[in-house]
Amino acid sequence: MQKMLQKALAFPTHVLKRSIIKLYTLVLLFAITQVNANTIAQEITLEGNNIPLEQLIQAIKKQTGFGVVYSKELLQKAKPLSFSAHNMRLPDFLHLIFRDQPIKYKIEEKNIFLSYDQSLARQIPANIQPLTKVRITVTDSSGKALPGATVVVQGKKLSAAADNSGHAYLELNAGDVINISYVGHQTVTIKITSQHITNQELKVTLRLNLNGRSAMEDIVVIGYGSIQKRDLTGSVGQVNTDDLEKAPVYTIEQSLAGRVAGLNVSSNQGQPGEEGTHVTVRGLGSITQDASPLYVVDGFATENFDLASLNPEDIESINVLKDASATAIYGARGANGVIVIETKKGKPGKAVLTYSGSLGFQSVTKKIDVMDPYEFVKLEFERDPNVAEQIYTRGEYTLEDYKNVNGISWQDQFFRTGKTNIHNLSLRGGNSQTRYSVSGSMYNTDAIVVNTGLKKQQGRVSIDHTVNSKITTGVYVDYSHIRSYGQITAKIDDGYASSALMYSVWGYRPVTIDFFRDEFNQNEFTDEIFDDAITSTTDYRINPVQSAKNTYRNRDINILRSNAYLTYKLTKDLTFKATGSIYQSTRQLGQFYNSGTREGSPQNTRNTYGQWGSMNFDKSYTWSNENTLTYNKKLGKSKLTLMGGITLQQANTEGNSYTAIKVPNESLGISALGSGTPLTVNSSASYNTLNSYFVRGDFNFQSRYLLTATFRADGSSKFPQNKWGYFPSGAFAWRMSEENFFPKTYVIDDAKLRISYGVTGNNRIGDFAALSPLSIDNSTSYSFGNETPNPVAVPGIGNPGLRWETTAQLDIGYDLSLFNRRLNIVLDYYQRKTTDLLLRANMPPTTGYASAYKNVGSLRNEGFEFTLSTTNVSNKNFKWTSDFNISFNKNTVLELADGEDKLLNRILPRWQSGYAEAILYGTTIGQSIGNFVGYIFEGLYQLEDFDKTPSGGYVLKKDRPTVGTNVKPGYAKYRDLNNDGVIDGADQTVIGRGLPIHTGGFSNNFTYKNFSLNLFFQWSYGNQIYNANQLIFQGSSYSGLNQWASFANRWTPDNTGSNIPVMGGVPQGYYSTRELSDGSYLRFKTVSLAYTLPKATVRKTGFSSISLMATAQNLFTITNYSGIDPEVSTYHSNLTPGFDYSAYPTSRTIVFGIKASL
Amino acid sequence: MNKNIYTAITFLILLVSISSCKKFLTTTPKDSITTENYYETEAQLNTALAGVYQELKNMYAGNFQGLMGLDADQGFYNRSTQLTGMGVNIVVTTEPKISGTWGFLYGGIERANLLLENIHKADMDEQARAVIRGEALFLRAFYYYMLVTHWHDVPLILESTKSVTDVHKPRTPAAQVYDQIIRDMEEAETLVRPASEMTNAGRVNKSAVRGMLARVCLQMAGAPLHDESKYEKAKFWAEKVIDDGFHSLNPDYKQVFINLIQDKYDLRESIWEVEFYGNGDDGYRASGYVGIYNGISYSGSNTEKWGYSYGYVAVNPLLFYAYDRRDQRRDWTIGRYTLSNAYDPVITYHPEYPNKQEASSHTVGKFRREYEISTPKTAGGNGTNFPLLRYSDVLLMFAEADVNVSKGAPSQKAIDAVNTVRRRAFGKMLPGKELVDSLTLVDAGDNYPSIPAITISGGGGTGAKAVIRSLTTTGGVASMVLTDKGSGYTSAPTVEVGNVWKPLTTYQAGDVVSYGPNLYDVVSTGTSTTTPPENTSAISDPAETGIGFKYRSKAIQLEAVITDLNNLDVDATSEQVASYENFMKLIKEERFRELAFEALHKKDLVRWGEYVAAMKYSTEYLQDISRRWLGRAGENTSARDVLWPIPASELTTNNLMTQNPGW
Repeated sequence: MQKMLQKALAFPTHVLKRSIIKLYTLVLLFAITQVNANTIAQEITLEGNNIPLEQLIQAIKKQTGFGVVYSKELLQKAKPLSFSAHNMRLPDFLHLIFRDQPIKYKIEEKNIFLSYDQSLARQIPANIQPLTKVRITVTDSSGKALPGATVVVQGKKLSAAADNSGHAYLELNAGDVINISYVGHQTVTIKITSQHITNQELKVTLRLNLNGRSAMEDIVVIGYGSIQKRDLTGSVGQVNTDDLEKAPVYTIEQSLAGRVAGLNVSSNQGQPGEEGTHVTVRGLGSITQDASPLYVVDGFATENFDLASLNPEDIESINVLKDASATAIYGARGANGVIVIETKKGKPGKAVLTYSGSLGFQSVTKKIDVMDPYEFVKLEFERDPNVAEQIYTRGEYTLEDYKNVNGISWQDQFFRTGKTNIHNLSLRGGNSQTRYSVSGSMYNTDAIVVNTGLKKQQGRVSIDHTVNSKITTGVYVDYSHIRSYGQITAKIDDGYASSALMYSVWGYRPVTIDFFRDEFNQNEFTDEIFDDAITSTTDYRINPVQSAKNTYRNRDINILRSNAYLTYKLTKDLTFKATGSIYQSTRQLGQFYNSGTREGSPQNTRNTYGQWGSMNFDKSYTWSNENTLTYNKKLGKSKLTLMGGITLQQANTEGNSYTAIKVPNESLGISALGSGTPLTVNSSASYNTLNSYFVRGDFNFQSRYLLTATFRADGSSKFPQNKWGYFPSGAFAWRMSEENFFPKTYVIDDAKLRISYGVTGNNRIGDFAALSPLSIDNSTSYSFGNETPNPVAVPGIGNPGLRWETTAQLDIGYDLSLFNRRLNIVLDYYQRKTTDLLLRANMPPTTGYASAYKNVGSLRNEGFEFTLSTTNVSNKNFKWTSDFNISFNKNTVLELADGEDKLLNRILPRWQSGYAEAILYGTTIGQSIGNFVGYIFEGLYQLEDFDKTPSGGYVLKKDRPTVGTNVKPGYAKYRDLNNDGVIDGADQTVIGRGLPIHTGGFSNNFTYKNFSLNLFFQWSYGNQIYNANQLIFQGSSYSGLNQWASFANRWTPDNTGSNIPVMGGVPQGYYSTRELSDGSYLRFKTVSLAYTLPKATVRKTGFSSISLMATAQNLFTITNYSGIDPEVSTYHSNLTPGFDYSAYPTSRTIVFGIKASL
Repeated sequence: MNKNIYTAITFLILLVSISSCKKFLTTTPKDSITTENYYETEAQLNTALAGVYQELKNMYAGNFQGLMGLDADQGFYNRSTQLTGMGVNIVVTTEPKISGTWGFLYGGIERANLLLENIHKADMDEQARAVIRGEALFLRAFYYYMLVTHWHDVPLILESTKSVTDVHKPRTPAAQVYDQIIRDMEEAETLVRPASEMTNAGRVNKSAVRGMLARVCLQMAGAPLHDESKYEKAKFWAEKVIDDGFHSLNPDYKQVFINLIQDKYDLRESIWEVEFYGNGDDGYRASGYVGIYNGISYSGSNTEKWGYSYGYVAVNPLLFYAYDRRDQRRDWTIGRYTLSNAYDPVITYHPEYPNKQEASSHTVGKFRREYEISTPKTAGGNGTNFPLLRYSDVLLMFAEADVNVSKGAPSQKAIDAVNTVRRRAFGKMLPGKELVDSLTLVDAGDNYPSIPAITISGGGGTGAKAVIRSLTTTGGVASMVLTDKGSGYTSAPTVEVGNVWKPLTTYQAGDVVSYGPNLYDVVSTGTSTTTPPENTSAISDPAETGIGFKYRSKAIQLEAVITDLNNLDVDATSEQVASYENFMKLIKEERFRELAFEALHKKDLVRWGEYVAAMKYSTEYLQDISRRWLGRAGENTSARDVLWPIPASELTTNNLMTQNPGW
């Protein structure tokens, strides 16, 4: 009683405190959403020399429609002006023309007020020193004039714009410092010398920014801030989002592979919405736990972010933080790398309405030929002549007759030409106060397998508002809904390979004896859901087309993400920023098995559920609040930035599900589950909290020596006894190209050496892994006296001593920019060592528990990354740029749970009962995670390996190793490693790699006049794939099961050269190198050709630009892989990569699109 | 600069004060409770106790039903393609069935330890607490008994696991483990309720504890411990069950199993059972596979009547031949027919007197799904309970212990015990002991167009049934079988084969009718008179016989022979009780027959030191039949197979663990 009272009393305060924090976040969000956009900036295009102010005012009036209020007196005091402005925003234009005039301006409503300003007049330097008019010629590196380039004199309110010939005129003194800038080029700072004054002439060459991209991209968004790329101390990879956007995909996960060195992206299979994509940065950082990076989207950090919720077109930038210096600011959760994504925000200027859309087709990249009716029936006779006679000839026909029969191609019926259509609409604009962006997108695909596909709708609003010179605020709201539907091809009933869909696609027989009947209609066979010739009790074969069509399986994901921020400039150097974020995702999975499916068919004797279905809901809701203070100070040529902050985050999860069986009216489907008999109801709820404090200092000494130091303390509710983890890091970069002794040649533009070392953490375990739970659940129950069972108490074991997993990483990098920045190289070597690995460690079963979370084990990832970006050709009409990256990663397990020297793993769920106990993977100390373990295939037993018995049988010669007792000629033979004459478990060895040696990408962009072409290749090299399909479709002896066409070339006494075993010639439970295949591939991932309509043509339509494009995804793949596609890993886990059974094939997509802007 | 610092500090203080609420990082689970805050009420203790029981279900539900070699040489894994795995005694240390069982047993021990440690927490009736304590102690001891018999030296853990790091436990000598088992069971014996007060055989009762004590003691007295002093104890405990007076054998052997199948309790005979519930179409997962794994194979769609069965276990012909023809246990324990997989399956009977080849096709029939009440009877699970201790076992254990104490000729009480088991086996406790013993073929007949049915009627009794299995090429009887002997016959019943001529009956043209030694074709449709056809050629005169009966051939003629079990002496012969050796031989045979497929036979063979020899013999014995692959398990048996290997999952995680010899 007393306890209860205490609980009751404790409750309100407990909730109250949390509520305050939540409220704080919500108020912030709400306040910020109230801001709206009011004015839309006008733009002005004007150029000329010595234009009188009066003339200028007329031009402004005409172009903007604004009124201009001024006094006559003003006209006399103003000087004529020389400048050139193209589509310049009005405030910027006014600023430019009046910056060296004693005139103040003010914009109110649609009027411009001009007034004379005595104070400004005084500031105009009197002729203390004689001023000399200097002609400054601004050209690009090819010598072409850059009209419109801006020349600003530092410290004076003087500026000029270059005219059409690239000339700008300014009255200067020796010692003045001028900045010359131009869009897309590097700003140059020059000190005027007496020489210049004497010559009255200065020539300036502006170099293009990297690959000619805009200056914007030189700013790298990192944790809690952004930094000039050249000032980076850490290792940060940038994704070229322009290229990324070209791929016709619904999520960037599918186009991210190969874009950045060190970022590895691979999918389990090709089913839309069910790809199971793994993103890792610099290798696998965990053995049993999730090793995916932390995502930071618009400043909001989350581990389980769904990239699909973003529209690829909405993404402004993606930066991959790889080393400890870059990630340490996310200390706690940065151990597996951080991916920082910024979405497109409104930009000041005229509103731009853009539509882009595309329509296209999808097709399967590869089909595997199966045997034709003749070969199939021939095989059936080989398997069991008596049965085959009954089924296929019945004395009326002969085997030869089947040569004239056209069988059913199940693959042709199962696969279809998919359709994809994509629509994006966005409106972006703003003025100096308010910037906004509203966008929406739709993506629909009917995928390559009947009744599978994906639909996505997504919308987004962002508003940034500068309230006054001190306060800026903004809010971003993003909502998306993704529905994927259709049967999962690799879904399997534990232990039954025949339950997977591709088993039936390849294996369903192509012909029956009815095909000879004159009046036979193929639909009689193709409409039946079961093949009545299947008598095996363990064969779950089903008509794959009917099954796929009748399956109801919808997964709906709804994601709402909202971020808001407020920055307050406390002083000139000190800025406070508060952000509040919520992320809510709801996942709903509905499944219904009607009588046309295996699970629901009354013809299925194992079906005890009638027609049935289930519904699962999972909800996760995370809120966070971050507050930072940033101090920026220029100290002469050096710069100091200090940043500190505090964050609070709470992640909540909830789930519930129910299953109902014996649904009386199946035509109502999932909606009528309520009328069925309830089977199970499950529910769950959990949450965790995180509180962090962090500081970072950046010291930039004359852009030559750069120092970054970071320290973060994280407190997690997951470690009740060791809540706090402390994560320091330091980095040093030396821009040696800034040193005086460094040769100032034309060749080297920039050279920077980076070294960083730091510690980051990981807390990805269950919310309450520290506690010993007691589960009391209907599904674990016991019945006494034949009464309705009662749930029993099943204890679990927690580990209260759990603490943070830590990763220490050393990174040495070198950035080099050559030949006028046309050649850029980034090299990185790193070593990541993860210790106190949070491992779902096996426990000795004598403890009563199979496993528990422990901080044990250690893992090293070591690697090398190389990135090369080049501008190969750049002239007026033709430009060619290339990006190449390659990364090598070596993963080594250093330590496992105490006492264990290896982890041996099977495929789970058990894909086929005969292989239920067979080990396919080993993770051994000193080796990398997930190596393949098995037997070495040594060809087939040949006739000469046997003695012939008088009765015509074959007996294996005594000196030949044997597999079981039943070996016959044409059976698979394996290496007898221990030479004991028997091939058994002791002859298994490591036979392949589960992880690649290197991966990379190669992108090329060509532009010729109005055409542009992007070619993107991506590869993975050095891993193997276990093609389990081969066990079933190249030599199994299941009755009535068709085989791959290659099986026609099996071993026979007349075809002893074949390495394909005879039917039944592969013993069950033996995984060998025969089925292991090289998984290396080079994929022509994306090719996109675009044509931009000439301006003149476009203008007539009222649009500002229109381009047309054709894009292909996965056009072809070069690989030796024996299966459909080498990017495959069914039943994936870190420990069991690269297993291929019944995977959904990858598809090739070709779309045609248009992009138009208003 | 100073201004900056002050502003920054003010802000930081403000922020830290908002965020540094200590409770923020203290969370409590929402959807589960923890072991620390449980065991506080009687209901919670009972739920925890059910958790200890639940591991029985995990063990016995599936794999123990014929897939783990517990039947030794009685039955074999019925799949010719199986080359590896426990079914053929090629066992690896990563074998999931072994690591699973090991895990279930230690899981049960952990659950029991937790319960025993926390049992004092609940505020409840002390009597009821004592019962819970007794059951938990007994179950923990039973699990140790399972461990020590299958793995010998095993870590003896009597406290719950407190830490995930202090987990390395050495093996305790088996003798010490046994001592603990005896201690715990003896304490439990004083705590649990007597069988007579129980309503079901799922909960442990005093007789179950006593019977198990006898079993444990017998095991200790046998190999490999050979602690012969324990025979006395075994006798003591078995005798206690007998003398209790509550227990008796069910008069009908097959009814014992039908009760299990139909979830009826008969605590007098079936003292302790693993409880299974439902047929797998509910969310409880409390069903088992007794009879689904080890039944008469059927995968047709009529799951309302027949019930799906994998037919995993084939019966060794040796077992078939071990029974007397009249031993009613034989045709129940062994499924003597096969079912086709059609909706209405064709029942194919094995021959009455099968040869070795024929007898090797039998599957286990002890748990026939046909008798299940709950439908549908799919592969998903069933509610058939599995016997853990039967009274007949207690009787035989008593006899074995008793004769081993004296090592001389058996006592009368021991002989009586064995005779009781035998008498029940031969139906001597049933009413209506007169039954059809056999059918005599007077004439095999000829030229039958199809297999005729056999009808047995009259003679004062009921229930006898027989079928003709096949015809010869000339259409006479090739093989027939008496499928049910019936009961209560006072004289030999009439046996009719096919359609027998009857007076004043309408026949259709084309019917085949027999009369006496003759078989006739009916020439035209019509009604018979009272005059039977007796012509042995041509067509009978329709004027006399109503319709024309055309002579076809000789008719099949059968005669029934009846036996009166009252006159049958099934007791142990004087020779069998003449010496210790002879009596032991009888007991071994009787256990073989009585307790087949109850997961006991391997243990019996092991303690008698006969396991390896018996397995080897089975291979040799099956060499000359085409299903010789049934002998694969024996072929692969060696001395190490007496024990199971310590599972790799334990060896690789427990630094102090060692492997069993030979593995």
